[in-house]
Amino acid sequence: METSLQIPLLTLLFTAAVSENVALYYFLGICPLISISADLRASFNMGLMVCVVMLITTAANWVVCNHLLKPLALEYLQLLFFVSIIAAVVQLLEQFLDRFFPSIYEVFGIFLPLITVNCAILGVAMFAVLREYSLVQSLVFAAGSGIGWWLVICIIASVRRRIDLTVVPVHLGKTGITMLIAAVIALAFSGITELMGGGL
Amino acid sequence: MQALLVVLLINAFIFILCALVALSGQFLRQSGEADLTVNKGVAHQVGRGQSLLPALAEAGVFLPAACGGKGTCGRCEVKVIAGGSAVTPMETILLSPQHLQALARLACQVKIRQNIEIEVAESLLAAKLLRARLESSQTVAEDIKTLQFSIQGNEELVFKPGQYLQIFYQMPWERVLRAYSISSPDSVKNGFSLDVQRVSGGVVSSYLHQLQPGVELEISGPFGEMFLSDENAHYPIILVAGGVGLAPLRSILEKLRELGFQKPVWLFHGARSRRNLYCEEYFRDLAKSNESFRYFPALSNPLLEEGWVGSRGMIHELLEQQQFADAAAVVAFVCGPTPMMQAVTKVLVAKGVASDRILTDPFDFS
Repeated sequence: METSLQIPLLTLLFTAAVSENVALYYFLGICPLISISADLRASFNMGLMVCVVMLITTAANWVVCNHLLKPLALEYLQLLFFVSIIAAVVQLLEQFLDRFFPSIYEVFGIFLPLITVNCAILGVAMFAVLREYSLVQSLVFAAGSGIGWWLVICIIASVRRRIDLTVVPVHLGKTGITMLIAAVIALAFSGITELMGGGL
Repeated sequence: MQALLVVLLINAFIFILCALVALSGQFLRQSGEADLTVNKGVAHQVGRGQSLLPALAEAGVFLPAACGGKGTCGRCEVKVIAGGSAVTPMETILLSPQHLQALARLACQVKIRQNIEIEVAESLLAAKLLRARLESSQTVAEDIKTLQFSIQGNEELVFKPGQYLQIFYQMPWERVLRAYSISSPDSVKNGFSLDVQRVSGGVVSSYLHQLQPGVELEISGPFGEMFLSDENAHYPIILVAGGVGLAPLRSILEKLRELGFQKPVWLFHGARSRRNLYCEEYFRDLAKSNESFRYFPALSNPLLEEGWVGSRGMIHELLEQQQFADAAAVVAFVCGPTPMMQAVTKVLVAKGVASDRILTDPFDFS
């Protein structure tokens, strides 16, 4: 992966969302992807929430890392700081929605706290720092990753609706078939990349 | 020096984050009061922003909540007529679509944001918050103790045989609730007894097992739909218990004994080995002195040294071998682990007992 600072933002967005999709290429955030994709509506909400949280936490983590940890040469504490920031941001967001947007809060319900432990969020924040993106690039990368994850969970949920009506081999079970669906979608995503000319 | 600095920095950072969350919690918390109307009665003023379960407790209505309000036991079911928040995913797991359509909700999952109107089963309104003092504690079988409590402060516990109550236990970080069936007859109103099995890793059961007489506990109750009604007492009765599931059935049996065993009563008690079987002597004596009462213990894994000559196997297998005259009139009470209750229910139905006359009370270890 390039560490260059000169990647066009649109390319970065597309790469993060499709060709190097956080779920299908890096296998991050797989647990909610499999458990929540049983329901399309819930998947949509979860994906949206992941997008929002990813944007906020990546920005917050970028600032903390570049303006607090790096000057003090404490980059090795990244993980600890990032995890705490994500937990705090999710808590704050939960309180905020509960107070000002109760209807949205109720729609998300249990999914909001679940995001705290979504490794895709942590992964994206760490990638952004590791690849030495600027703040704007980090935000674009986070947005792309979030949208990509959202897209994938919605696609898997849509396919699973059809699967519910078919006979799945017993030993494959719900999880097994979902993994297979994810694999096929991953192939499709890499196919799109090739269509676009590849080598993005 | 550097290490110390790092530790300080981490602590300071986490402290700032926690302070931020706590502060915003204070700042963003919903304030004010809302009206809570129960069963079209008087409106109670309760704090906004909390869930319905503690709000109801504020209004003097104590719902059963074996999970302590986490939305996992499904016992705090109420009907929300108006003003409820949206249905949460936890509720869709525990309540069927038909239930939800009929406005059923779990009180612990409903958040109070506006004036709210609910309906609660009348029987639940009888539940009270009481203080009970442990009078005696007796080991009756391996890991099972019978605890005798007395009610404090001129209060009475009015319950029906077969019902259960909840015990509050204050842990350093949270208050937990556990449900225990009452094993004493309902004729005693100023006290009750509980049969408590110690569960490995069980916080409350371990606490109750080491409790010394004289200690006071907070309880609420009575709760439960499995009980001996006045009408049922006039039918032949089959009692089937698995392990410590005997507790509510002991209460029912005592009531039937007081009534003089007007109709035949069969008690089936399944346990792992003889050391898990309790009240055996008492039931054997009772069966000797009363013709209409019959006692059938069965052990699934009797130990060699116990010299058990009685029935072996699972309790539903023993039940299967028995013949019941007039099975259609029988009322059955079944209490034990869920798989045992399912097996027993199946056998009872096959014997001709009407499924709506089979009353069950699952006990789940938690």
